[in-house]
Amino acid sequence: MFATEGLSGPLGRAALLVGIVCAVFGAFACVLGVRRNDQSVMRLAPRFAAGALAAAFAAFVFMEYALITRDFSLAYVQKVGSRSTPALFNFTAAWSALEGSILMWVLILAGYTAAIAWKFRRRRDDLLVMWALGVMFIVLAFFFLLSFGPANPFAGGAAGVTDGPGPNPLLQNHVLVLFHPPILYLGYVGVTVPFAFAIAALVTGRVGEGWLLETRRWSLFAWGFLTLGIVLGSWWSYEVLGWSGVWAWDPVENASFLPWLTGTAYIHSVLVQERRGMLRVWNLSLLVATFSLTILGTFLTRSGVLNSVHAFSGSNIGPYLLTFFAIVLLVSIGLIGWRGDRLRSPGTIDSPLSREGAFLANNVLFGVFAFVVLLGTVFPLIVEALQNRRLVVGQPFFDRLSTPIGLVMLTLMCVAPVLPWRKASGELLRERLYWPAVCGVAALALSVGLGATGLASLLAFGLGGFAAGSAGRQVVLATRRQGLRGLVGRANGGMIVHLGVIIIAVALTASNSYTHSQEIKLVKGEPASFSGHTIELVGFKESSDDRSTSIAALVKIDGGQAYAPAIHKFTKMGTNIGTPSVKSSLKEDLYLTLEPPVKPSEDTARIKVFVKPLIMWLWIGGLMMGVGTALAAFPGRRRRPTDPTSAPLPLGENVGEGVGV
Amino acid sequence: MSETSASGRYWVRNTTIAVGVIAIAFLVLLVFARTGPRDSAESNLLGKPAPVVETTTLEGESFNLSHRKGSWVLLNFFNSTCVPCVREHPELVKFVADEESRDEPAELYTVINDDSDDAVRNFFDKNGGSWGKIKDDNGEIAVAFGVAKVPETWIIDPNGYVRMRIAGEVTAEFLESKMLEFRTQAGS
Repeated sequence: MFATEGLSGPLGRAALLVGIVCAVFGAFACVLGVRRNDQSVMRLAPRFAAGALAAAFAAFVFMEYALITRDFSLAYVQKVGSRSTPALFNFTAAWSALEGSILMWVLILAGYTAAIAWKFRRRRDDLLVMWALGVMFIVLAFFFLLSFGPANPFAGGAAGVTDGPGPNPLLQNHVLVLFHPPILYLGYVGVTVPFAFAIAALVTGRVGEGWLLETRRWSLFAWGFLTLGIVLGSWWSYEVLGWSGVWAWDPVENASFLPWLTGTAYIHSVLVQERRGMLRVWNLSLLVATFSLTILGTFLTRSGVLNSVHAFSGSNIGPYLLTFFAIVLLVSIGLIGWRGDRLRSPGTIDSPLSREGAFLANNVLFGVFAFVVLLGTVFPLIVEALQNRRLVVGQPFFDRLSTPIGLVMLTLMCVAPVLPWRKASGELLRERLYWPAVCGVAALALSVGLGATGLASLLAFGLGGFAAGSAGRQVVLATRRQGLRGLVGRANGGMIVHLGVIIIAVALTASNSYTHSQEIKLVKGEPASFSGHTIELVGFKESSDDRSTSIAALVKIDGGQAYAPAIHKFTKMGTNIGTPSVKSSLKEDLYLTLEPPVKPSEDTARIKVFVKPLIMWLWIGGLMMGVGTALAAFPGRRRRPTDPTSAPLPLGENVGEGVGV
Repeated sequence: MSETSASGRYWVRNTTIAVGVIAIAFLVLLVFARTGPRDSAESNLLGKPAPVVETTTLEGESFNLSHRKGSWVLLNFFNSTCVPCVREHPELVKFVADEESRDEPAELYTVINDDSDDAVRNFFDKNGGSWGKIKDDNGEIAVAFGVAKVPETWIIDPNGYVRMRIAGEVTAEFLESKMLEFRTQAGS
């Protein structure tokens, strides 16, 4: 071990340098190869992609090696490493601060670049593919440079350091820190692929529908992981932070939500373009927006411009990210303006009451939602620029605006899935909406029967039932016709995603509207009751190790198993972290936190109890969204997307509703 | 047909120009936003009267924040096992030394956060710092201010109003520059 001490730094820096060289040469190989139409140059591009991936992977391995061997010669290890951190959290420490998270970004982006190069290896003479790969290389080169320069995880640290504080205590007490960041990044970084193809389409002038089909699965893949990452982040917040909430409209949360909103708009409106050739400018703009929002979000939360509970401590990557953001935005807008004459759509929307009309409404809604979230996020900057004071709009602003938007989205989800392309008649709607409407009325009646109150909540439940009816109807019809194959394909998988969204909407409404909580002073041996549950303090459990000392109150709920809300004191950081304990069921969660000061000697504990209905359905809905996305990525039985609506399906079956979006 | 295509072309071009202008305005806003490490943390207390602080010092003398009106007061929430607290300590020593050469020095107090009296005494014996250390045994002062994580430094003006909350390590240079700023504002 002593022989290798201090080697990770030089090796890591060398790997990053190799990566920079590969990415820059790869970009040149693509662009020069295309300009000179030289196959021998273009053939090098996939090799550079593989080289860049190998370099990024090696850098990541050296980072882990430095952390695992506690190589305190590195500044990064001094910052997030500690001899007392358990192996799992020492491993995840690699992405627990800025430099390491940029390194993970580099690794994932290098992975996508190599995957694109491999997937399209037989189409090297295709200008579109070469330009897309070139764009990927340029973005990759930027992130490699960021990692080698201002956010270098292999920078040397002060001499003589033999131990460090370890990662942020909040990042070392739940296993989700192993899954949430990489999965989120797979989505966040993955939007680079459709963006690269969009730019390639603009550059080559092949702005028709071809590039959309190339990137359909890539977009779905990124969107699916972004969705899962966001849901896992909420779960982490709920399990770790102790305020019993899942979403706080924190700038970092918004940074992942904004590209999700524009990405969701895109995966809907792209269907209109595939089918009808319309909305070309709009789709390109959505992809540009989605990608630039990932860069903007990173800038806002990593440069110190905005405060956030997630924000890593100050760094100087701000100007780099901002410059890159400006280039991306201005080049994209310039390209769209330049190609404007080719982007006019060949058709128009015949009737607002049609599938394409509904997609358009969907896009307006998602666009408005994204604008509201962006405005709320950067509002402090606007106020500061005008008035030289800081003002945060906070949760009330977002809650007030997202409730009506969410309700209108649910309304749209009731009607849109049953609408045919081009034009719907009133009669057809009456027939197709009958059962979904019955579901809606039933859901409303059920929720009133269960004692639900409040206009917004009742609307959410009723509309949720209606929308679930519409989505369910499509799935039932498709499976009746095709058996299990009726579950795969874009339309059917999409409906499963809709069901997941509806479940989440209902669960969020219920848990936001009907949570009640109380702080109870428990005395050992004297059970208290709250909201129909008996809660009894049965004892304390104290423990300590090198890392932290902790004290947990053992609390029995309804005489069953003991739950142990705790307070951990991380000795090296001087930080107290409360850890909630949750009793989950399909109906409701009992969420317990231990409130300081804790006095075991007096046999009393102050416990805050939250009763939160339907929380578990948030995670179930999130899982359904992930499964639905995977099903949608499988090829369903459908028309060739470029064929007219009237073309017959393959396998000679009749064209029916619900098949082949 | 040619008419529609011409209007379509203008539509795309005009929209692009409009979007470009908005994008540039937004970029200008971001360029001029204050970046770098955020020195002041948010708090609902900023610009409001400081919470009541009535306690005793490590030496057993009573301490009441409202009696300190007339002086600038800095409260530094501290724990002797916290690495950043230990790291920033020499900076505080330097800051206090600088302040003491002034006519009306700012007063720094260490608020002991969840630490034993002996540990704090040992720490100051070893590392210097003769300013007051005040006790916060039940964490009430930390709760009243909403301290998230030590070290935190709060600046309270001579009228007893909270002026600034600094989360994390400070440097003497930074504190001096902030004090200069505040004093200039107060003097003007």
